[in-house]
Amino acid sequence: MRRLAFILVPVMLAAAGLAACAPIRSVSIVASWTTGDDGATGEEAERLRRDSEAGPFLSVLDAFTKETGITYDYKGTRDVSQVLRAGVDRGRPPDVAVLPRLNDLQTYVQSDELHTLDDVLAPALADIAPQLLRLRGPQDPGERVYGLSIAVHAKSLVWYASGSPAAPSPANPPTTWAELIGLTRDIQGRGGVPWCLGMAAPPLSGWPGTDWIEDILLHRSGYAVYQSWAAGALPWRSAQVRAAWQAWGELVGSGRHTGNTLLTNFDVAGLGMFTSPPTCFLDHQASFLVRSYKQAQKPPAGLDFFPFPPFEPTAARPAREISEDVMGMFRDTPEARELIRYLAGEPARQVWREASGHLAFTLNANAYPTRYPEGLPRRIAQTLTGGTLCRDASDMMPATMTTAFQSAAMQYLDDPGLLDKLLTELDTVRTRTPKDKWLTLSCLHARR
Amino acid sequence: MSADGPTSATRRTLLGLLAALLVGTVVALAGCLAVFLGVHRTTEAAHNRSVPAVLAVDDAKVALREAHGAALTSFSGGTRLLADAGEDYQNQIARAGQHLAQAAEDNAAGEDGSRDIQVVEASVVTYTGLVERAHAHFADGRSALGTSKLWDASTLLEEILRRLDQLRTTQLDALGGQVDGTWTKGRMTLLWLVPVLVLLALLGIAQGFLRRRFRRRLNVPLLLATLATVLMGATAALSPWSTHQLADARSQTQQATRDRDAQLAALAARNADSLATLLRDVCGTPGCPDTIALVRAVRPMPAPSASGLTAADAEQAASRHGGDATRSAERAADSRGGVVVLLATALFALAMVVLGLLHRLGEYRYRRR
Repeated sequence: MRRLAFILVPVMLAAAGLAACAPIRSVSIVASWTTGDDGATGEEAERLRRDSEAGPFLSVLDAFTKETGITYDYKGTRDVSQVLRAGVDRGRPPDVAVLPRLNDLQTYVQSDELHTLDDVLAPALADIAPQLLRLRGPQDPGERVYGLSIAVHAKSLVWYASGSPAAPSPANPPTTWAELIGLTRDIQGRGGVPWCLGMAAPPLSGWPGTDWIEDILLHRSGYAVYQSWAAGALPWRSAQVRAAWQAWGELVGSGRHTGNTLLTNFDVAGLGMFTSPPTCFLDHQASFLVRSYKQAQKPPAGLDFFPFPPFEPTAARPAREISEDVMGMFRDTPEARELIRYLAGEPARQVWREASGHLAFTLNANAYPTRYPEGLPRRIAQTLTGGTLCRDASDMMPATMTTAFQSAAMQYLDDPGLLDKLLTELDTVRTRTPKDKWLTLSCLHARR
Repeated sequence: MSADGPTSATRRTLLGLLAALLVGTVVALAGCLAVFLGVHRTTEAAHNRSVPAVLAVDDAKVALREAHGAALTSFSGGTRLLADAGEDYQNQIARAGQHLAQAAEDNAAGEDGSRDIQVVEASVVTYTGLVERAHAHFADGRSALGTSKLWDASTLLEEILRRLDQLRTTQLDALGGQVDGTWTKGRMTLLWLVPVLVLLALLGIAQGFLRRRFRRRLNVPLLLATLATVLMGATAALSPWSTHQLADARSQTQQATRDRDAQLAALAARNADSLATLLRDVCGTPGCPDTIALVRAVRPMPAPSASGLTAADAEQAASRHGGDATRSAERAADSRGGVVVLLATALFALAMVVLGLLHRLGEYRYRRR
């Protein structure tokens, strides 16, 4: 017995020593979802974090920690690009980052600062194939996987409150551009303001306008033209792009109520649909806006949407605009690899869906609409599965081009007479931007 | 008992006392030096880095708020065509840049602090770009677009200031770590006391032994060694005083930050009023109440102890407390040549111990032979 003790005690002491000395396994993450807990501490900070836009993702990270024992250090900031740039420049980037602008991914791949995910994610898994972003770095013989799309947002949606007398009926939404114009004129004829326009998104106002142009171009000229324009190959002064701007101006009445439109936030403009009487009736916004509606109106009475209609009746599969949040790996650590693998799996998607009230979507091939409850979540999921999905062009364009595009959208709304000048200047920016700064990603075609 | 017995016992005792006093002096010197250097390195770091970094971050925040106020005034003052954002704006932006450079130089918050400063510097460039574009729109008579850019700039400014708040917190944490650090904790600053007291006791024992054995009232070299030891202890006693000064520097720095918060809150309220007025002018019918509400909602709350102060009063109080903090940190970091004094007194004490005991030992060497 004593001999056993002589053996066991040193072994146990050594084991305890090793356990105490073992490094804590941790992964650092930067993303654009803010936690809203500035200055708060303790339980209050925790409550704010859970209720924030980052809340559902933090639930996923908690589940990851529970499963793997790997802790996380999450930093949510609107200026992901600058925080990331500062970290990369100092040689201290986060392990992984969630990039809302796809062109940033291209920038870091070009500068060889992003690690490939080729051997992290098994490309053989067919279900994650639509989530993988393949790019070619300077040293790469061919395209390699550099990004995993972990969240997708449906953009080609028009929201309305179905109870309003002037609003469309859920059973009979506009199915063509002409019907959408007709609905707009009908509301105007009744003395209403058809569109809830909010171009402000400080500190980068203007992107709600770029979404309009992108959606109109996509639906009017088709995805091939859209892809060419998004990649910098089609001039802004081309007939197709010019027509898209003009169609937008005609629909929303650019030049009118300018101050109001330019200075109203995109996430409050649509709340006018729920007032009595409504101050506006239609809101062109992405699926992520449901969260804002729900926060302001609990529940938002009669909230519904119809997909942005094509210009002509067509038998082809509909085209939809989407935006994505893409994870890239800046430090190749075992913990970063485990997190990325975890986020590519169904358990992570399930936690995310549930924590977001079933309003988190992905491009995963197994993300069937039937996984979502009936109603808005399932219908949004359906828009992401049945057509051609084209990524937000302004997210793919180089930063200088995007900023100019956003500014042009604001200026055109203020004064449509400037269109020629604006398109000429946009083309100047386009031609000045080096070719290797443009990101070329094809639209994704119907999964089923 | 041999005839040599008492003689050799005295010699052994003398040798033992000599060894104990030499070792005791070296140990006392080591203890005093360790504490003294530990404390003064910490206080120097606080004086040279964390205190000025906290004050520089606050100064940068004030300069940015002042710059924004100057731009808003310029764009609503009827001089949109003649002037850009104005001379005041340019000056305050330049000041903000200088304070940020100072904060970067003094940064005590490590890599995180450096990264925050880098992000802030990049964001300030974006901010000034937005203000320039606002000016271009105002100059073209397109007030709605100009105001829109100003609102973008305002929102970005709030993000910059939030990041600077985080940076200030990390610098204050660094200062807190220095005040409550290993060498500046109350018990640690008294570490020197034990070997010095032991050495004084040994010197007393040696003095008593010599008085009994050789019937001399005082051994003068040992008395001088005792005085040198007391001086060594007195020099080391500056360390607790320095830590006390450092604690004062922290509380004055914290008070200065509270005053700055009050000043910033007053400036933010003024800026929000200016922007709300511009918004009311350009929004037209039915106005943009949601936007105005958002603009007004960003006012930071001043700390309770500083609320009620006007911007000018708060600025004066912040300058006063900032100055006090700097002076306290300077006093804490001033070593007054303590290291030299410690080394000199210890060497002197060693020499006196040897001088005081060797003479007696010499007598015993002769007798024994």
